[in-house]
Amino acid sequence: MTTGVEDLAVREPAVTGTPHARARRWPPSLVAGAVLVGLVAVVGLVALVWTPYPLDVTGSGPRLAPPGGDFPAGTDRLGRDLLTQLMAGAASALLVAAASVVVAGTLGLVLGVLAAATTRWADTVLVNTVDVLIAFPTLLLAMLLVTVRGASTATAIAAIGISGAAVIARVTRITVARVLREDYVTAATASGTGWWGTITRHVLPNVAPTLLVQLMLLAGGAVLAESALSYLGLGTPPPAASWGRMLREAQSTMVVAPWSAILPGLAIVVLVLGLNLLGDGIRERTDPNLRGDR
Amino acid sequence: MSLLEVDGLTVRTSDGRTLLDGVTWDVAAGARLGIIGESGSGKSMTALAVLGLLPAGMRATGHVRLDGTDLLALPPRRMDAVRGAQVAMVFQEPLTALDPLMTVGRQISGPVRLHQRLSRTAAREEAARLLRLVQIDDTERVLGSYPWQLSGGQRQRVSLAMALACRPRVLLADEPTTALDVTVQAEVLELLDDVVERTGLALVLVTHDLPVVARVAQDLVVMRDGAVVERTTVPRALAGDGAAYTRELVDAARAVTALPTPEAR
Amino acid sequence: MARHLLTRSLLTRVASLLVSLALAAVVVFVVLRLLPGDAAGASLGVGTTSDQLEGLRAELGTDQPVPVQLGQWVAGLVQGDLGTSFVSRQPVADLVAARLPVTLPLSLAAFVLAVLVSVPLGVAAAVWRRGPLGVVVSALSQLGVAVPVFWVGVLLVLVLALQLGWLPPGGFPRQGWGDPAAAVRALVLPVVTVAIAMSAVMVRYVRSATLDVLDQDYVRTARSLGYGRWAALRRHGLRNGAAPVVAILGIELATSLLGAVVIENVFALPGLGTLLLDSVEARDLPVVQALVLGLTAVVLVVNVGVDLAQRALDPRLRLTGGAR
Repeated sequence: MTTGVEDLAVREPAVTGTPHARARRWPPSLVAGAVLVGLVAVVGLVALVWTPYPLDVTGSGPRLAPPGGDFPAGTDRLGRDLLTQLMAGAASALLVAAASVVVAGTLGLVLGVLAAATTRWADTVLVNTVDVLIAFPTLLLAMLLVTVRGASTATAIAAIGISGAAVIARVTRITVARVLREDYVTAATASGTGWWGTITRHVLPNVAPTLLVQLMLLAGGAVLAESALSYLGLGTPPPAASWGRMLREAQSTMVVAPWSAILPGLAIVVLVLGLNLLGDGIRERTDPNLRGDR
Repeated sequence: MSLLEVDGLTVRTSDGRTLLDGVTWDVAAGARLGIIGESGSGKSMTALAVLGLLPAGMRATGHVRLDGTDLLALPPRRMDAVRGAQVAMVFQEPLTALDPLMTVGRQISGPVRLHQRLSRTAAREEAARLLRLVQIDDTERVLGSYPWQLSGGQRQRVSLAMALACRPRVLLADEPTTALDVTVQAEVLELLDDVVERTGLALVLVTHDLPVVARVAQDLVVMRDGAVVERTTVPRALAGDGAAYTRELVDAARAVTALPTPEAR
Repeated sequence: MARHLLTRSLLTRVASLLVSLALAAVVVFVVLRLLPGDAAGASLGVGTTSDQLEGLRAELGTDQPVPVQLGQWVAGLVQGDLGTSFVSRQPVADLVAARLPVTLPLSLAAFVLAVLVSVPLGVAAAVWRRGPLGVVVSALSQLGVAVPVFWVGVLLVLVLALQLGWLPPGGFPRQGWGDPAAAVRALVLPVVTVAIAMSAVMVRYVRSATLDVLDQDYVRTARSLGYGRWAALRRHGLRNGAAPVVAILGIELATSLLGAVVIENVFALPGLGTLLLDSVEARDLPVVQALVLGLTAVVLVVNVGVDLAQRALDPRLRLTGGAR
């Protein structure tokens, strides 16, 4: 033993600028993300019970009225109120995000845990399937499903959810495998904790932060993917509202009504940015290795 | 006549915490100075501050004089010319201090070519000479190897060879043996000793490990909480003269290892 | 020994590529055959007599069992026959060949532009991470990844084409590349659109890869030997930063192709993307399955390329045969 003096060492706070404890508990990105997502969520919830005009009624007002007066966001070429559509669009965007996350999270978690914690054979099969799935772009999977089932919100959610599940399964598998190698898990197993007990007591709590971050990013990706599908006419069909389809419909009239091509896009950006920031914020808060300036 | 003089060196972070407070010591050409302290005492930071390589967000004040020139006042470009050529450093962990994707030959001949205008082949010969200086015999194999293909002791020898590449006058060694096995530690210390003997450079050995200092250094600076506790010599510290904190360190080290007694030296 | 390992890992990689491709082909084919009713009926639409249907089924081969159809399709693919469109009755290969001159230049130019923009910007943002440039670049890329690609296109059309009239808002000259100036002008906005979306993603990765290198001890070692800030980064950053960046470039090369698929629809360009969308809407199965499989194949091949490039860059993977 030559490190005699080291034993006496008093640990001083790390020298490379520790962020303030307060900043760590509430990273700015977490706050900003929560505010943006919260905003959209409130609007979406309100839209479920009240909108300025009925959603699918044409001729609520004049055609292509500019924003202002009775129509704060203007009207489209059929005289429908754009604010109403934007509000209802918030609800359906959140629905797609939440449903995709649930599908991807459940499927991915189960597959990932199975791959990491059961047999080597299951692991090999799963890893290879997941690799192919990940190489298979969401958009193409959606197009395949749409060809078969027709365009619908459910088809979009299925495509986005399955694609996401592949990513979640991969992350889960890696994280679970790492946790299972930790000494305290080995110790728990040695002291008689069963397979299920190990998973629920040790593995899941350790995997949760990483998964939460991934799911937030996935939710943002889901909103983007759904809007792209709807823009292409492969997503949410009328009469349900969708920001992506609003943009598709606005394209033919954007010379005279530029706002109709701008507002839905801004709404998408607000929600996706919010979800991404939320993911970053959670990571900053839960990952002790991450430094403040990344 | 001191070669390197650290005078009132103080380091503060941007949010106003003081990490080093008025550190003062000096070392003459051919002398060996040990800086000892616990982790967090600021000894490694002192070495980085001398080289002007503090992490972003920290500022050093005071004076670091090399032959009378204040290094802290030098413009960045002139400081680049001092690093390596005048003052060089060996780091604690040779595996991370060396680039994993670059062969040892290129890593050593790079700085040689940077400071001395040598051709590629001449630089390579110089690199081989440096490896022999740090007692690596199969130079051809080592020059063509990547750091992760070498043993820990070889890697630290390579680090040392790099630091010596531009014939510096001061060598800062920050815990150069901590990452090594006990037997390899002894070899590297002997090598350091031998290099100082042969090149006449001034050695500043930063460590938490009293037996290491006792083997190599004569003069001793004891640090705690970012400040110098006392400046003394190794024999006096081992004899128990001086500050109470120094005695604590010596007693603690003695409890776990056989330190040379003052008489034996 | 090293060479032997390299060859073996290459063979393993190619073998697993072939397995993945076969798997993808089966999945694409089977999923499309889950269609309620059958492909022939779907392509004719309502109001067809059963005689017409029988005739068409025999002609298209959809009266055969699914495994037989799959076998015929794969046999055709191996011989370079991509199938025949249900709708236009033209060989799929001809349809694709007619569209490639739009899609290929679009996605390649967007990829090159995105690399040229994002690599220098990402490196600079890392070196001056606390300065104004670093902050602005980070904020812009954070915003950029949240913006839908097609909306970027819509905005560019709105401002540069409709308001300022600098460039055409969409379409492609009828003579195609026979009128090079018009063809280039038609592709400028689509290329910029895809490149903007890709740069937002790539800048983040380049910045983070550069930060990783800058944080490494060996960069500090280089500084301690007298290398300046940029010299140290050049000495160590190129190789060490390249591996993660190559990985993301590979993914983005595939993304650029998919971005092109979406963007062609914004700009009404006669490329693979519009062909794919039209075929999906018309349920033209042979075209859909060939295009989807083709695009997936590109992604898979690029992945293998990335893997091999990383091996070439990192001797640790190369010399140890490295399991990743």
